[in-house]
Amino acid sequence: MSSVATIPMDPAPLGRPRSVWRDAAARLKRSRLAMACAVVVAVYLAVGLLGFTPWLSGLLSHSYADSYEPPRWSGSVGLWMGTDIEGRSVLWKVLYGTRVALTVGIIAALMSALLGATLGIIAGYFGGWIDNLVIWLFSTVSSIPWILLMIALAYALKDRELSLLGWTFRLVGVPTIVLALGLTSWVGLCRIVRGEVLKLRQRDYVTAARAVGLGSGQILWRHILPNTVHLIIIDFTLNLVAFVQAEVVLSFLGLGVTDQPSWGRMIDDAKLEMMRGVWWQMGAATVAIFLLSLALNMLGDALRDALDPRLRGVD
Amino acid sequence: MRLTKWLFFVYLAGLGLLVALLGTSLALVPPRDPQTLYTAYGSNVRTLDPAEISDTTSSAIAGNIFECLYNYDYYARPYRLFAELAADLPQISADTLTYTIRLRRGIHFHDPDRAVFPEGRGPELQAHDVIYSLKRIANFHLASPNAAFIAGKIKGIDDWTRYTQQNSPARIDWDRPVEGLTALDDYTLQITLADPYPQLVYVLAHLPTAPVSRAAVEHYAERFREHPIGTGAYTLRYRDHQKQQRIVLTANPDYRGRPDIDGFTAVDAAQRQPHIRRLQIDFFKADLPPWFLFRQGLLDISAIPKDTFSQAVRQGGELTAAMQRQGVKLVKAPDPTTYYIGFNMLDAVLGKNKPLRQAMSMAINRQRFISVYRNGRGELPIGPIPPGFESFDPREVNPYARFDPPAARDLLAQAQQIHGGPLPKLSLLMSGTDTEDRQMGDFLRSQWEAMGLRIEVDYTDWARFLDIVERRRTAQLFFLAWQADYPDEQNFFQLFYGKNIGEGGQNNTAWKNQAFDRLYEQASVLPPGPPRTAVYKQMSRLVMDECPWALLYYPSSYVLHHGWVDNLLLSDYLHGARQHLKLDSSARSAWLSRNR
Amino acid sequence: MWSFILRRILWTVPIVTGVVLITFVLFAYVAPDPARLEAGKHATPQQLQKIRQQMGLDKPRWLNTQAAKAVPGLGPKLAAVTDSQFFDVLLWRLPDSQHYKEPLWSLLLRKAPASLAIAGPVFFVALGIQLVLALVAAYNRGRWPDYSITFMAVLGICVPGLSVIILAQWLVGFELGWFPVAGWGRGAQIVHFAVLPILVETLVSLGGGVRFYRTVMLEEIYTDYVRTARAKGVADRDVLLVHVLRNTMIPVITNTVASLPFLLLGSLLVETMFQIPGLGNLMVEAIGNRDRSIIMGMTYAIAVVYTLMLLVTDICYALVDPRIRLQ
Repeated sequence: MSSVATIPMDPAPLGRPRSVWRDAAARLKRSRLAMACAVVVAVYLAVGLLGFTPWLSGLLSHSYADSYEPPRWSGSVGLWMGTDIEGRSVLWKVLYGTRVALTVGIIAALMSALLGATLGIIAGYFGGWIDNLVIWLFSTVSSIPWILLMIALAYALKDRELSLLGWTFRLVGVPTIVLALGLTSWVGLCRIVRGEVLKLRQRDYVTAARAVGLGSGQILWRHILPNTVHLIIIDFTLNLVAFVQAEVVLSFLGLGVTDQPSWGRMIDDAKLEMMRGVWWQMGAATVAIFLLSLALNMLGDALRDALDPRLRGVD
Repeated sequence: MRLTKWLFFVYLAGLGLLVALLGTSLALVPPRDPQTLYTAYGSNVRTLDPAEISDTTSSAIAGNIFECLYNYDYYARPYRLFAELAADLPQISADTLTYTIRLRRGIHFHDPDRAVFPEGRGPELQAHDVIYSLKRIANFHLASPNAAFIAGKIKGIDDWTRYTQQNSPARIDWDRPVEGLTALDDYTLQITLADPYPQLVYVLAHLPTAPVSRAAVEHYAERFREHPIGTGAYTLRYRDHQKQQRIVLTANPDYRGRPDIDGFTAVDAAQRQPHIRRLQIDFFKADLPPWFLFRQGLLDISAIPKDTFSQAVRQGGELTAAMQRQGVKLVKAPDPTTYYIGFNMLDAVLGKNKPLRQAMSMAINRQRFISVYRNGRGELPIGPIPPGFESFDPREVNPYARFDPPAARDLLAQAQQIHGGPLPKLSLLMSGTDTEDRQMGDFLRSQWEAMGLRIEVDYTDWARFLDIVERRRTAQLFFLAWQADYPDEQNFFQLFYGKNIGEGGQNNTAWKNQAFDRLYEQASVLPPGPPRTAVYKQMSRLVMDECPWALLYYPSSYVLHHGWVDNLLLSDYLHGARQHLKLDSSARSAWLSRNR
Repeated sequence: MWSFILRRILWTVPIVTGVVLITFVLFAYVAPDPARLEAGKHATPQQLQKIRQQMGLDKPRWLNTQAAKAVPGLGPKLAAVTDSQFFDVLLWRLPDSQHYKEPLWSLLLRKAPASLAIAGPVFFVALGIQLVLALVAAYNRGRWPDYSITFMAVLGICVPGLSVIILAQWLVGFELGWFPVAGWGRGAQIVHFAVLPILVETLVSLGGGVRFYRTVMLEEIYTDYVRTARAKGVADRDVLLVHVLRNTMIPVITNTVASLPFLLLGSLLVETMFQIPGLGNLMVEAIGNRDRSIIMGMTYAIAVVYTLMLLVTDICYALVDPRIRLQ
């Protein structure tokens, strides 16, 4: 998508990336809001790791009641957020859901970042037929309705066996969603990185590096890549948010996680439950998603403000 | 600047218009026509050509327009056939291979659009129409989902199908004779079977075999599915069928007044059907909007959505007081359906391990399943045959269909020995991905995991489910149900018959049992009666013991109707049920004005 | 400039081909045989065969070399070799929808009004509100109007859309009974059913739009020439409306035009949850039914419309922005 470029501020010479980082870190630390968000994200990460422990997984199957129970503050901790149709604790389900959401989000965002950045960089740097191929690829992918792509990929990947590093696992649930999300969301980053690399390519120090005889690989690694990392980080953060939310939509379509509790499942099940007056599953999952999205969003904004060279002169 | 101001005002005006439309919409309630019954339907009507019909919605609509040679008595339970287009029950030859059927006289087709028959009233129904209609079902190019009912059963019908396959649709000679279908005269039809088939009479009561007018089919060709021309109590004009919006059926002026008489017998006004002259059926995909309309009295009959079940029915299956005060009535009836978990007998772990299957069956708390997940709308299962059939005995006991954890654990120990070690993870395939399927999958998994088994549940959509279960046969455990097409247990037992394994066959579990097959073949030549029922009971027993299915429950249907609708009965197989209903429209108007 | 335009037009061909290619591969190799689904409860092998024939599935997937061999002459050979599943899709030789038993065009035309009835008002209302809020926020940067608007926008983005829909349905439809929970009506009744979906969809999409437009407008406000204009003493309101708004129109138009085809596809979530018989719902159903005609046809149509939209906007840029013209 072409955009009208505003007259760019003259950025600081980018040959010395390290001071940019220190600069950015300092600016981030100054903002109390950003720090608070970072703490929240850290808490979520911790809870997510907790989900891998047998302690939490064990609590999941414990039955606290016969069927639906509204939240109760007296009595056992498990009843604090009520129970589901089989009497299982909503609180443990919500905590466990963090593991699913973060696993899906982080791995898919990493995959997306890897694909998008790599394709964007090589397209922008080498130009020519490689560039045309990448443009064709991302134009095509972005022209297909997202929903169709997701569903088709999910079906394609389901029930296939994949052998990776000695582990054979059937693509069911989380791996399928991760792959489907990762393979479809790289387009945005690719476009931005490509645009940036196109600009970087013209820089004097790149021409100088080539004149000196540095190979493409080294140039890419030492000069181009570091100057795109800020874009990658911001995109990663935003993708994380988007994927956590996407899991909800996927569950709604029947493609989400089905063998474990997940936030998306809890919200989707609420369609029927609300009519019976059971609001606590949806409430808990919505709040969990909301807080994480909020924290990540604000963190992403702060990162962008801290890292973006153009806005530096604007403060 | 001025442009911006203009744009702004246009924008405000647009918003204003939307709000005005909004206001008017809140006041819109259409008046009730005293001659009309208002109901709702939930899925697309795919076709109104009887030969093509296989879904319940199309069946329900077309069932009021077409009639068959035989039909089920509206009131009789257990179900009893009566002669609808036929004059009487068929004369069956001694070797049971030849059926001679006389037709009623004076029955005419009716064309509501007057395109094929300009007078509206078409020619009289005769034997050649019946033969033509049966040949249509076996036409390769129609790809009728009902071909299996007669394929291989009537003499010469397979030759006919092959003939149609080898010729393009335009070149088919519809007068080409089929050996087993002959018209002895205009009103007498003779069907000759290749092998004994006592269920033939049920097939002739099955809506897809309804006679259609050849002239109409030739006139409309493929569009015949949108222009139904039948002999039944109602008729559907083309313009009254707004796809996925509304269907309006109107009384057929050429209808003879009752299904069990010929066209010349007089019927007095009180008995004349259809009692309700007009049926308006609105399309609602979601189940809650029609429910609200029903509560407001704007729909006369409604099913009960799962989530609002407690508003209507108390624990114990009776109407709530609130509903009773409104004059609402509840009609419930057991379905001829059995829900089960199928064990894939080709599977290395399950196929040869009867104790495992029995144990898994005994590990399921069906009572909880029915009360928590099904609002109590069902009965505990006994055998593969649900209530409503001759061989069903409510006092019979099936130990493997009971919830018995200690016994299950014992059997599991045996199963482990047979398997020669700890049991591997088993996988269950569910046929949908929405909340209900997930809840059921979770439930079943928790039941089996409580026994110490390791289970994983996989969810997929219906298309893929069929592919995996029927074609590829790679599902270990699968959740499915079977609903009978006619009131003969054979319809269930065909799912266990050894020769029905393979593509197109119904035996999904690939269960093969010689004793069963022998009994099946024995029963297939017996007419209905105590000897056959005894054989059927033996067959049930075998299935219960061998456990190719873990039976889940027998569902029931619950339907609500307002007090001004009379004579509503639930019927599983009957077509043309609406013509029996009565409507007290003054009671309806009174109720509506009281409750506005 | 004309060479630029020509290049852009030619560029659409490989993109649309690519879209068809990807969709075809995904559904041809991946989706299970749809014939069985259509065959009903008692499927016979002949019936399955005939259904496959009707859906065009008995042809070879890519190239029909067998048919080509049987026919003499280059022209007929070319026609015969492209009598395959892939070329059927590419050349828009799609059979009727197997599930609805209706031609694709009539189906799309029948369903489009419902999607439009929702998408149209949402577009209209949401865009207006988003622009106004974004303008206020951008103009008051750093002060409380900006903070509160931005905060609400972020809030809006962070709540999952499905939760909003379920809550709205329950609260407004079920508890209060003001509007129907779901469904669709006929004629004037449509308004009654459309209000809740329109409101919900507008609400859900506000946050993202406000943020995006605010960012774009901020970039405009802090450009040199705007600063110059203010320094010169041009009244703030004029500066705002004339310069900023006019120049933000370009990214705004790009954004909205590019998203139009997807808007028509309907917010799938809204259409499915509210049971609106629109194009989005049709697509979801078609995927469940493995209805190839609809899936391929709709994807194709959307891809074509989308690329055309992009083409149009790029041509507009070329006509408007002298820098591009000089390339």
